[in-house]
Amino acid sequence: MTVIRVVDADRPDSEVLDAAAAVLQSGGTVAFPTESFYGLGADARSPEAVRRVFRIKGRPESKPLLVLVDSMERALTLVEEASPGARELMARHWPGPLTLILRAAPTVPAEVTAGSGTVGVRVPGHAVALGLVRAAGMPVTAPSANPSGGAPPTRAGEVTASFGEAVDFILDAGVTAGGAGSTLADCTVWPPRILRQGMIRL
Amino acid sequence: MISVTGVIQAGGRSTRMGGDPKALMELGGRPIVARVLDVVRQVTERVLLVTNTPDLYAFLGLPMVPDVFPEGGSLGGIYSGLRAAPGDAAFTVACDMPFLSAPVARLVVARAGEADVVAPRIGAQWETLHACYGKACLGPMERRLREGQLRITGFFDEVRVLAITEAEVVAVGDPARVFMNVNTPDELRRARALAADARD
Repeated sequence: MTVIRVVDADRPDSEVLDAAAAVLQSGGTVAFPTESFYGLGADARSPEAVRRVFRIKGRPESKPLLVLVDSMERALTLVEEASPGARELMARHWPGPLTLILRAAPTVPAEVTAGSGTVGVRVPGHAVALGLVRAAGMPVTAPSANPSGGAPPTRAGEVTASFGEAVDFILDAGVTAGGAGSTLADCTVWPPRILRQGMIRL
Repeated sequence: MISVTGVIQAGGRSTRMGGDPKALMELGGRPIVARVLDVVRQVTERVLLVTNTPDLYAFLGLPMVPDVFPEGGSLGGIYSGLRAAPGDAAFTVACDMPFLSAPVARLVVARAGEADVVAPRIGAQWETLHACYGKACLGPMERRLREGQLRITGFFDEVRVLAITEAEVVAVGDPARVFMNVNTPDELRRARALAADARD
């Protein structure tokens, strides 16, 4: 059964965030709003939880997943190294829609990196996404919550329409902004290579 | 000089505290909302309160208006207050911010005439519930509310926005304290400890 809870987009009730975080902590999946679309969250440290995300999306496991964290400090625990330039980008644009791709630490599951040896990470600027990641106290996956190849959802109703009861919990904060998604910057090289020009112009 | 009305937001639900509105919790011997009112009165001539439970707040003796978009989250409350506010702009604060500061509030209100939205920006975060909204925001806000796009900052690209910088705020107050809101029993305990330390 999918639990759907309505939550304020700017000041989410912490009781609701805690309930969603508990689902992530027990290996479940939570759909939640980000700056652009609804994302599909699972415990990014757990290979089993990450495999559920791939199964729900019907996504080929050859593509790496983006991961949300609640702070630059936690981001640094997921990566092998971050250059001074990458750290400066984090400090300037986080929380916000800039995903940095960095060499993954050995502890990051292969399901997340999809064998690429890299991980895409950011601190989200949406109060619900950030509140969820903070309440869960873990890195959380955040591919868009649509079947692989489909259009990314801007409403909770689109998530249930695509996935039925396959998602355990949905945080419904109204319609998200849509648009270009987060900007993707490959910081394994310097200057960074922009893989997708999204909401933040670099 | 433009005319600014103070608007206290007391809509929304509070389940975390067992259903009691957070704003009525006492801190330093007074309800939090009364502390909020003290500060807003120092920086604006008129104050009104947005709520759908007026009985709870009648003791403040303020004019009250309903939240006309009760499913619209914080944005709906801001819209409702701004629409009802006399004058040109509304300085809008939440009812659950126990450590508001008149000097910080004044930074925002004093510049209300310079843009349609005037708000502190701390790091990448806009303090949207400690901000001035001009009447020009009503149209863009209403369009978004009708579309269900409830993030407050969503309409910022349609109006003129002025940021009060972190450095300006830090010069007169501690942002972590001034913009703190009390959402959980833990936060209330922390706020009570802070209040006791400061003897306020």
